[in-house]
Amino acid sequence: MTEAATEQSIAPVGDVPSASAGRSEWSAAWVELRRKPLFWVSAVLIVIFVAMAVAPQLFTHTDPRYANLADAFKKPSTHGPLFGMDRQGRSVYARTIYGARASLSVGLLATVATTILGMIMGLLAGFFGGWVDAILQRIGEIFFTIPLLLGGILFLYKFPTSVDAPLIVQVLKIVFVLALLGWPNIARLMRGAVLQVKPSDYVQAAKALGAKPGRIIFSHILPNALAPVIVVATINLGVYIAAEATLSFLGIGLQDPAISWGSDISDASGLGEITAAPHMLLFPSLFLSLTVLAFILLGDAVRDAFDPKLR
Amino acid sequence: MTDTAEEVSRIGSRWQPGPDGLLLDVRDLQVEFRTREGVAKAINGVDFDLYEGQTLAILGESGSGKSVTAQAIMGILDSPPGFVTGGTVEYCGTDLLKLPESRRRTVRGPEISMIFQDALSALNPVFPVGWQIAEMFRKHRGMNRSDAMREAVRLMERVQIPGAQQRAKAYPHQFSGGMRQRIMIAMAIALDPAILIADEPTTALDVTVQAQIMQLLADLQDERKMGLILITHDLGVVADVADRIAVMYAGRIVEQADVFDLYANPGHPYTKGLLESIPRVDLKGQELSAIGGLPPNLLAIPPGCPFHPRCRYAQDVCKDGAPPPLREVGRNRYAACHFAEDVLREGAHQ
Amino acid sequence: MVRYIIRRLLQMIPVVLGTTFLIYTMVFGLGDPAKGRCGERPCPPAYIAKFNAEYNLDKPLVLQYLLYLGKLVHGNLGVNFYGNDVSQELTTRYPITIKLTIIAILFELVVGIAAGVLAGIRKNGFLDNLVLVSTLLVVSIPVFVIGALAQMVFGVKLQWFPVTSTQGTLGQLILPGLVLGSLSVAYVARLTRTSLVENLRADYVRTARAKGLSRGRTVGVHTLRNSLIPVITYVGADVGALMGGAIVTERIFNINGIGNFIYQSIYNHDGQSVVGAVTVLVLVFLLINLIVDILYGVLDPRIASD
Repeated sequence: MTEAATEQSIAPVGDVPSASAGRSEWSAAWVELRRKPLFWVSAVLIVIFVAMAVAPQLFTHTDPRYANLADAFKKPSTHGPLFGMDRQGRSVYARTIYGARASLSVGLLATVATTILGMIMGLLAGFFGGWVDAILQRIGEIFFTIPLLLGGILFLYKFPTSVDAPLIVQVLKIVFVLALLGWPNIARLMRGAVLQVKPSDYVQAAKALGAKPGRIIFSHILPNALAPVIVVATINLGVYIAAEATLSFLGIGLQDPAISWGSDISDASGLGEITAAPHMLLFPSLFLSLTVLAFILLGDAVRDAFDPKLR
Repeated sequence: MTDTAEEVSRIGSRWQPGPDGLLLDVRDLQVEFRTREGVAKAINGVDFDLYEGQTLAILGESGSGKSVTAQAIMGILDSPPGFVTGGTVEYCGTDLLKLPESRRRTVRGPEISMIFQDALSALNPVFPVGWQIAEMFRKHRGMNRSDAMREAVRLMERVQIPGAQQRAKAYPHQFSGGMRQRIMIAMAIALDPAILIADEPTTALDVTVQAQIMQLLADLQDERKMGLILITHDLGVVADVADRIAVMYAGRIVEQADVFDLYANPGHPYTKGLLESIPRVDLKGQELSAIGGLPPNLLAIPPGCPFHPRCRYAQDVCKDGAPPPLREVGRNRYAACHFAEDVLREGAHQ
Repeated sequence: MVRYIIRRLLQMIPVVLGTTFLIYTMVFGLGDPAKGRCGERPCPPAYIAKFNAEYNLDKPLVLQYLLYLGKLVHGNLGVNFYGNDVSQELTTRYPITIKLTIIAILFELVVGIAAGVLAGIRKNGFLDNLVLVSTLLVVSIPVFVIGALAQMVFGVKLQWFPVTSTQGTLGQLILPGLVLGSLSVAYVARLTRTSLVENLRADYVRTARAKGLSRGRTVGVHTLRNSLIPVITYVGADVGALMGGAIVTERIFNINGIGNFIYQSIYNHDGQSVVGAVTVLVLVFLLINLIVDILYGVLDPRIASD
């Protein structure tokens, strides 16, 4: 492919200035993204789930915590409870709708926290190099070595969530541990990007002209390094949502009365429940899987948009 | 997917060149790349032939179609997106394009082989170089590992790699650029092919190393009477070694002549521009600066003569209709230009 | 190669120390280690004093850790709060989790690589799309849902496999192993595919074709080995996730491995057991990563030689 026709359109000019390279990369990615049906499917799904998380009342008037033992294990039907009732006679539909809030807030907050922490660490390591780099890399390896789930379990074991803690405290605790264990991934990526950009002429020129490190980072390095970070962050979102559900499934994540797909699935996955009331397992699992799927599809679409070669 | 096809051809008869030594006869070769942006016409009717012991240089800037021509002859185009859409490639009287892939594979290596521009990426990074050369003997000649390795070392010695016996176990990244290209050459000549295609063999190398590699190629060709197709964008490289030159532009041969005739007096304005640019700029990659404008986008080749937007001889007749055909403009020389005679006459006066 | 291995070993030392210290600190250094030992009520001071003295908790944290490390080197993980020897507990449970993880890894490698190769050699073909869609589904459904479903379908309804795997025999571990490896199998398939597609475009693949090699050899020998380098790296890093995931799988199928042990110890506030089990788990993980690194050096000679 040395002489593939596509290369023809690229004029043999020298280095394009960084800022415009960054910007055109972004707008090209956006044009690419707009054409992808999968991007729109995932975007619509995400908008629906976010609406569910922000205003569950829009979707249901039933109190997800209202229990009527007389209705326990009731099957789904079109003229009764749409998704059926759980063991305690609570509406599975209402609980599934309300469960979106916990999952999405953990996913989004953990992604933001991981990305910011990882970017700062990666920037410091890549930009300053030397012993700063060596130390940060070793620290990253230490956290990277502890499997996400094991670390989460250890931490939540040590700082268990009390039953009456408000949702946001419970969520932040999980976010904290996910970010603590998740940042090395982003940091490594960021460090690589910085090292790639650092020796380029325009960064050297900016340095020679006496630009401060902060300015070099924000106007020269960040715009070039952001794309791969965003791609990985979008993919991580799904991972974190699944991690929260897993911790809640194990009974150490979000605690009742907080509503979480993970703990509802845990309630539903006893062998007795599975056979008697499969709907208890089906609906929260379906919503959870759809959410994770939506973010994975979004991540894939974003990655392809930034790197069209891959497909 | 098995090696039986290679087995069969090994036993089968050796290809015989024509009575006049004709090895390769390419007629009206056409290749296009079907991309998302549209169909790029990479090669639009290329004709040439190659005789035993002859060196044909195919000259052109990047995107002119010279590498694609080589890949189409070898049958190693990336397909998709690349497709041969017309023409014939006759090797010893047989059209290679009509052969089934299993037969065609037996031509690659034993009959026609190829070396590439960047030996570092063209050699497999995870296998020792000796192994990679020996693979030719093992897969085409059915030799066992140790015999094949002995042959590989012998070849490495032939291409003057010091300490060949030990170095055969080393990996490509452990060699210098020039040594790597020697290994590529050793691999390509392993089965004593009738034709060697060298695609920009020295472009990635230092100037002094370039000369050594070209000398090695010339020696090997002399010794084995190979037909050599030398693909390059560098006029300086071909002057010493080539017998004949074909100049390509936008997927067409625009001029074809013996090397002395072409250097002495070019018959196409593009060739003229190329030659004029040599003495002024000594750096490689910049010799085109004397020709204004850019090579055409292959997705939208201009109507008429594709060179007309950059041509100082261009007149209205050049701007539309079919591109001028490659026609005989002198003894054994061809040019695709409406005003070839004017160009030649002007050159003769200077 | 020897120098490369030595260098990797040296680099591992700070990571081993850091990781074990971090785990130790998390369990014993923060909060009140005696918490939960006496039911809901706070423990009486005399008990706490005895407790602290017994586990060296009255000494400075670093010293505690070093004392623990000293014992660890001799294979002594201490006695847990129930008077059981932690090392012994681990020796009986470890083989089960290792078997489970090996099943998962084999599944991941064999099925994942095969699917990835089939998808990659015919890019955008039918198989490629099939693999893409099915891996997407597997990745979106959390492992514990797959586990519960598999248990119901293959255990209860079809009765192909035992519903629970209490004894941890090989036959009992197959279904849980497949469940445990399901997520990674999808990742391996996608990674193999991407890597293969990328490598098929490499110059040396064109060289292989120019050498007149068959397509089988071009893909199977010249491309696959290069393509598997990132896959091996992924599988190495994934061993940690698999061992973490074993907690979930072992709970669903009621397997008496390390995962369940950690889970029970957490519930029983048995810090000594938690630290012991997690530390050994992390050490195993690091060891496997070292092996993967060496394998990496074998697969890609460029890594080991500089």
